[in-house]
Amino acid sequence: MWGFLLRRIATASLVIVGVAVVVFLVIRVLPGDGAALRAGPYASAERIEQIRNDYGLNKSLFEQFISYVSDLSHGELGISMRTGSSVTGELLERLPASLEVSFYSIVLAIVIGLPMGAIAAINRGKLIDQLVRVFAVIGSSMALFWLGILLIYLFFYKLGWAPGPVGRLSVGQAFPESKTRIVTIDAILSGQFYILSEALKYLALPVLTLGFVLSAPIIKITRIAVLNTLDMEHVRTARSIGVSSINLFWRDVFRNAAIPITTTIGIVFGYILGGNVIVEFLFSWPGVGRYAYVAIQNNDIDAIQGFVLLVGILYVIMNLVIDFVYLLIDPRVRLGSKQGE
Amino acid sequence: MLKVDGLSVGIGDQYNSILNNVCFSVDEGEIIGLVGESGSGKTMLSLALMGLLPKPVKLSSGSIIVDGQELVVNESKRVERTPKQLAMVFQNPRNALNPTMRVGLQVRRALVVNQKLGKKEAKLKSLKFMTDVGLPDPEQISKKYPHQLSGGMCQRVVIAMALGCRPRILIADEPTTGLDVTIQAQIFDLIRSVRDETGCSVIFISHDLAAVSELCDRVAVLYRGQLMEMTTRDRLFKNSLHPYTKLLISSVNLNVKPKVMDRGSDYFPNGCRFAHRCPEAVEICVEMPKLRELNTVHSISCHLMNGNTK
Amino acid sequence: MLPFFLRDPLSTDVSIAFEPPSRRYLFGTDKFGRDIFSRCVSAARIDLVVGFSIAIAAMFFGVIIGLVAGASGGRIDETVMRLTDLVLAFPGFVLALVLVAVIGDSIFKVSVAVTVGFIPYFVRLIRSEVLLQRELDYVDAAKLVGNNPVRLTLVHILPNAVGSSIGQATLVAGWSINTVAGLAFLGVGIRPPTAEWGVMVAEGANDIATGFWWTSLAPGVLIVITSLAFHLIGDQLSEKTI
Repeated sequence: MWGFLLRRIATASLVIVGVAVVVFLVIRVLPGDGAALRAGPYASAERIEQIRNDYGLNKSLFEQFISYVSDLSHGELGISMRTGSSVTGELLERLPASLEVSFYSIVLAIVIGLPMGAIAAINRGKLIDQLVRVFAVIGSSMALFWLGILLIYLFFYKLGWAPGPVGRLSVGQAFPESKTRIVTIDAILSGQFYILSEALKYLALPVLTLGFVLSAPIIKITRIAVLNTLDMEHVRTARSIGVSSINLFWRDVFRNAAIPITTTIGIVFGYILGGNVIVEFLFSWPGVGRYAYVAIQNNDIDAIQGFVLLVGILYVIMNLVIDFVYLLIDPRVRLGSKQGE
Repeated sequence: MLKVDGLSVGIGDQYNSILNNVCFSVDEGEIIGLVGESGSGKTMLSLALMGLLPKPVKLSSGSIIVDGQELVVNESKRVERTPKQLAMVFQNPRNALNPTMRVGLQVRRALVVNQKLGKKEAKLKSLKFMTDVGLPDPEQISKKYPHQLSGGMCQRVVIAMALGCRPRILIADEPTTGLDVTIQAQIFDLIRSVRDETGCSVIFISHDLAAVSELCDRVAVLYRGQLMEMTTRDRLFKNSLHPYTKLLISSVNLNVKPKVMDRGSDYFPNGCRFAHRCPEAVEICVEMPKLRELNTVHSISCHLMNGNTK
Repeated sequence: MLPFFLRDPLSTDVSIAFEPPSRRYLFGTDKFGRDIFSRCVSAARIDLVVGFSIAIAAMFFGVIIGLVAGASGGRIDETVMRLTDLVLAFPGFVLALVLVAVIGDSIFKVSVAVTVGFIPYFVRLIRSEVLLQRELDYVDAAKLVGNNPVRLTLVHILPNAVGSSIGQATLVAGWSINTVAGLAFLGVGIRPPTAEWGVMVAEGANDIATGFWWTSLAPGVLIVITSLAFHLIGDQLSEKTI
């Protein structure tokens, strides 16, 4: 088990290093003048030169790489052209908002996806199976941004059930005492339940949008995994000794189907990181996704660089977490395949 | 103990394609061997008795009576049986076990479900069962997962699970395939001792004639779903009457099909299933021969026994 | 010039702005008075061509790289695998987003950016096919007869490998349309006034507030239908669904 863990951590670290290098190369090897790009279309020649010096863009690629690496080792991702402040700081400030939306979305996706997939598999061929499959197919073909607009139109403009897409809370509303800066948790911690309910209302549409799209791959893999597991011989053995249906499903089917399902959830994490940008844009959510959008609109190269690095690192870490989950659920991974008397 | 009458099993329209009108009985404490080539229907017969036929396969007709009680056939054309009546030891012991569950728990589960024991009792009893099947150090083994055990040990765990149901009839489907000879001998001893202690009957399915001759009291021969001959072990091996059985005995290894003529498997589509390869087939073989009881211990399904010869 | 039911997708006429769908303007007009139906059709050309191109390009490069990696083995293989892992360390959408931010907006550039993200799928697919096929006997037999390994690869392995990637390519076509439209929606890659479905949805998004629902509905629905089609066909071709 420890061997597996160490190997995975080592690989992950290598990938993170690789990510950092690739990001550096891609950003620096721009066609065109890095300084001019940063300065924007209205800058004077002096301004461009000034930027070139400030950002060390006149140094050789190697020197730039060295300073890049030393910055990174201090956790410094650069200075934003737009705001003048540290990119690291700005990203960290916005991270909790993104985490909040992402977390609730993936939870929703799992909560609706797993049961739907399982029920479809158990009732293979019947109406409920067809309906679930249609649902999943639509979910996989749905463009995230369009779904968001649709939901806003339906639930805000037409029905008035949800609040407008102005962010985490209504415009004048004060935030709860910030301990974790995750509004729902903070609201609970400080007992401000009115704010909690408000926050949940504002979370509803973004989470529904992202959650629906994320649920599609989960439904698909759950259905296939459960179908495959149902055919396995150990299920037949369990039935033959009279195990009850519930126990059978949980212990024999689900525990074994969980393995491929976990893999897919790792892939779904990847969709979240990209989907965040769109969802945060649509709902004016102050997270890292929207920060990236603004950075791109303003050609804020360093902010973009910081964002990409963050995404790469997060994705690698998320996949590492998935590997840890394998350890928990698959004894073959945990204990290695030793065989013998 | 077990009486099977007119059992026909098939898929879709072909109601008897898999098993055709199989009739036999098993007495208390008997060890019956069920032999046949692959595809003969041995496993399907056992699954039919267990009510575990795979989805498309159905029990079209026949009755199964266990210990005086007839098993009910439900709407999906499967019998309903309890593990106390019949329990089975499947082929491929490794696949038969749940890879994410410790083996001790799997044995315990069989006990808890069937004997309604409390946790502590179940634990103790499961250890006893595991010792009975010859597993060394059951405490240690209980904590292990199937992938950590050898094939022979897995097989023994599966047997312990089946025994935990305290069945009246134990079906063992190729329990020793893939295991080496010494383990095989141990498992035979195990089966015999189980029979001696509990008085249950055993149906031992195999394509290995040598194993069957060693272990079984009576033997049934199946070919393409038709029960060809069933008699005592000695009579079958020394004195068999059915042309198929004779062919089988002469070719010791069943996996090698004896080089006989083959007139094509739809030679007599509704007749004797062996006719296409039978050296002694005659015109009347175009009809399905009935299973005749020559005496109390010898049944045979062959027209030649009715005085029909070439 | 244009058939009678299509108008110039770029010509504006503010006097007919925000006309609801009618017989004359099938999908209505937008805030600049442009015919949405014509714009959708024009956008279809872009989106579909882009989708196909990306899928084909990704397949082309992916197959070549995968073949080389699988057939060479050793260090080349290792390097290729590390590189694909690196690309796959980024979610496709983010990767494309950043690449476009760096190399600039244009239909071609955005296509390139999205293609890069999909190449690894094919590399992995083909590489595992090649590794599998290498073990098969007919390859050994051919070698014994003295066939040149390169020719061997091309003639024997390639057809099988490509066959299995057609289904994947169809799926990729659907995904890339979604990605490109998503990027365009954010104003990245393809920009107004070019008619592209994502661009149109972005343009029409704000109109909803004033009750003009049709400006973003049509392009949005078209994206979904096209994705759906590619998805269903792709699934069938790769026989993934049961």
